[in-house]
Amino acid sequence: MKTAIEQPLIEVTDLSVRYKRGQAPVLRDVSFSMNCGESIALVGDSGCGKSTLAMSLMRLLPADAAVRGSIVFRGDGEFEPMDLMGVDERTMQAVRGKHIAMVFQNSVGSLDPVMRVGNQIAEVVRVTQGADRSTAHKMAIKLIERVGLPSPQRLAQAWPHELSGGMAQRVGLALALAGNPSLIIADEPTSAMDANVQSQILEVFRHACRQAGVALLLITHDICVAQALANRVCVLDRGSLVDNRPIDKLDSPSCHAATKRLVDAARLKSKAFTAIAGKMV
Amino acid sequence: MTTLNPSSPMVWSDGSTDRSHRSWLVRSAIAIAIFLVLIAAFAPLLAWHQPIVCRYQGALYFPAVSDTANRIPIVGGWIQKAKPFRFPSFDARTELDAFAVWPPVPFGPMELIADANLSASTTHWLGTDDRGRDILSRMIHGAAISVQVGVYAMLLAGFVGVLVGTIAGFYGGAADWMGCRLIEMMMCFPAFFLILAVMVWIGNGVSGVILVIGLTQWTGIARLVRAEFLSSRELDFVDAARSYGAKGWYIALRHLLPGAIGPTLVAMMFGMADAILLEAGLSWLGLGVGSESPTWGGMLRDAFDQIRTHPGLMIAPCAAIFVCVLCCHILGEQLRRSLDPRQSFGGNRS
Amino acid sequence: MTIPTFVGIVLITFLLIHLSPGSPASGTAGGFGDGGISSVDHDRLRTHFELDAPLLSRFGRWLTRVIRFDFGRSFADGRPVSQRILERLYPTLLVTLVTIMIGLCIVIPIASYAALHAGKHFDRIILGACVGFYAIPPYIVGMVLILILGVRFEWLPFSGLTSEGYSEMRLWQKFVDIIQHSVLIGCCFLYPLVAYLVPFVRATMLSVLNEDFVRAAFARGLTKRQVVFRHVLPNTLGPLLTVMGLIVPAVLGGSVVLEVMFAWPGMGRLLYESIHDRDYPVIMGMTVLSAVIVLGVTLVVDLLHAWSDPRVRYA
Repeated sequence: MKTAIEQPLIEVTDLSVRYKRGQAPVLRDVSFSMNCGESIALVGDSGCGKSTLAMSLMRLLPADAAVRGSIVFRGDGEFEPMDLMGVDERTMQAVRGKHIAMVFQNSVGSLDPVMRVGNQIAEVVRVTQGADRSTAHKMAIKLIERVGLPSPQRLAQAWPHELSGGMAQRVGLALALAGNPSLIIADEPTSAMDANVQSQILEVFRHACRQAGVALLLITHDICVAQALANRVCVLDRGSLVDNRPIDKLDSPSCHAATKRLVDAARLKSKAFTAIAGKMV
Repeated sequence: MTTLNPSSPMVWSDGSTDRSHRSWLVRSAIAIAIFLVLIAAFAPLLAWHQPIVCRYQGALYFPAVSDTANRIPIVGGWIQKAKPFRFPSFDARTELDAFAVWPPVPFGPMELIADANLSASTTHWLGTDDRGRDILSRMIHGAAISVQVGVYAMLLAGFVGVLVGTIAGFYGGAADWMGCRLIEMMMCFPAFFLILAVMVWIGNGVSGVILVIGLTQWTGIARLVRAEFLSSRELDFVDAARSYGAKGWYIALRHLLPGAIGPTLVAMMFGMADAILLEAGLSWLGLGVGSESPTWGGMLRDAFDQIRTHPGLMIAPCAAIFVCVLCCHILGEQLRRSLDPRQSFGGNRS
Repeated sequence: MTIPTFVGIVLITFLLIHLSPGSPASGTAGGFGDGGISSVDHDRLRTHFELDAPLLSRFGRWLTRVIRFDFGRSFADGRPVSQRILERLYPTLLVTLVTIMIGLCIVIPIASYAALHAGKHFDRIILGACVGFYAIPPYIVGMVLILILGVRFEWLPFSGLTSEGYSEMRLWQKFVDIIQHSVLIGCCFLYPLVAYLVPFVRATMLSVLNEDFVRAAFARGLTKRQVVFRHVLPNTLGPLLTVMGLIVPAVLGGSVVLEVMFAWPGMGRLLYESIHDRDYPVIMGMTVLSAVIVLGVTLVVDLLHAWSDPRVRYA
């Protein structure tokens, strides 16, 4: 990991989101910050507002969502720090993909089914970096290579429905890397995969992010996945950020009850697994 | 006709949750539908050339009532009308002198009763047409024909469609292949062409029109039922039913068919509108129920032939067809909404 | 899949002939019109469709006839049926194809705008108008248009394909003349198409807009315009193509009343005339041909669908 610079990459202060007037807020006064190249895992039970947090960082919430708070994004020093909550849509479009990119849980579904994989990557390259058609295509093939996919030339010609979930998620990562962002938000990138593919994909993520020096905001419900990738853990519980600590300090007694619950759940799972494995031997 | 694919009826859903407005529309559609069905059922009591009750040569007669009863399908044929009223030469208007209760519109739909092209008056509420027939009376009996064609043709189409769809969807394999090809080839014929080609052989008449429309418009329903069967055949509850020993057709009728009933009813509502339009189109061409019969399509044709001199003749049949079809569409749409609550596009968020 | 359907079409029309008066199946009953079928017609039918030959050989003959597009000679004027139909084919194709093209040009922008602003005023007004217009049959609109634009104000001609003295016109005058004559009938074909397709395309687009890849495309920094043109519209194309294929029979069927109303010398009017003349060879030829046209269109639509959607192509 790179050493943290004193200025944080992104700083979220008192972020609250409410979908419908009168309903309970989905996020309540969430504050945290991320440094350049850091990887943070955002952990919590399903329905605690993890994805909402991710979408509000991208400002892609549905129109009826009411958002409060500030998200100050500094980027890699190319521009003045700005509050993503305050900028206009055009600026936000320039931020998306180019400075903050996203990887989705539904890996196959987040690819346009009627467009070849290579063209989709090249499209992002062209939009975010202003490259011309042939350069973009070459870069797309390089990106496919970078996420560890075999025979990138042929894969660029493939259709999304021909990819397996793991391959599609690698393509998703390539799409995120295409804009050369300083932050990647990965929303449950491996939840829909079996354990074997999951560990491969996590390895690709770790490698790619470290190589490019990209900060990673990993959203997951599984503390094991967090341990594999992140160096800090933020725990969300029913819309509030209840814990924020380094990954190796999860055992400490000062942990919030929600954190303990998640850690215990993970332990129980691995213990049960060892027990079964023991019986089989 | 405007029969644009009955199997995928008008998509008419928006994200709005404005229920009050919609229910106002639906309520009036239901009211109009009931109104039309009542008119259709009791047309001779509303407009007829013979009285409802009358005394003739010392005895009481109910000629319009027995004509109404006569229109009931199958059993209606057994009812014999009382003697002098049965003869076409018998003119109740001149023969009767004693007590008689006439329908509100005391003119028959085919009766040449007055001067041609009278404008609306207290005797002829909507005026008379080019041959001196009362327009209101013709409208009422036209409604009866439209409703009959719509309802019976769709019952027939629903029966054939459910039958073919069930066989194709339930047995699968060769039966499915045959069913699909049958549906496909029927869908290739433009409905109007096929109907006209059959009408050429079987000739005019309400039952012919109903039969032909019913036997050509079932494809959408069959496709729906088949799709419903195919999608739910693999579901767990079918396996569960099988696991406790239920047999093939029992599962089909008891578990699978109910799921297909809703979409079928929706398709039948929309199909009813199409059938009414088809019948009106046929009558407009003079090839449907018969050129003398009072039909909305035929009245439109009469109006079209005199479009330069009496354009006002168009108004009543145009309005009736429009309201009737719109009514079917609104009811079909409402039925679909109530069957499928997933219609609203709120956007799914994770 | 096309060949069995084609054979089925031939079979259905064959059964139709079998229903005809004079065939052993129906005896002497039936027939359209006031007095049924005359004995002259009876004998002509018998010889024309060879109703006395054995069933199988008769079916074989009918099949070869359909394939060779040879339906014998018209009862009305003795010319070959195929020739009579072909000369009527082009006015119908002209008006239907042009209408469908114009319709698509109107539908896609309106539906896209409505889908992107779902629930707003424009969207609701458009949807309401579509439902309303869809419930009005084209022959009513045709009559109203004729009454207002043709009779009352005399702006547009409403009868036939060309004016009197067409043959003496210059080329551009001929062109303008045909356009003028097609405006009213074209409108009658056009508006139900638009009223049907706009809500359909809108709903398809809305479901595409709710797909994950659209959200993902936004997250990758594409503008709304780029997302709509590069991702949403191409994904709407497949369902639209399918529905276009399903619409063709309805448009062809609707042509009968409209062509009679506007005295348009097309297929629909030929069918109407043949029914009045009891020109059975032409009627049967038209019925087969219309189904074959639809079958051909379905085939083309399937190919286009496969071209536009890789998932269909490899399925």
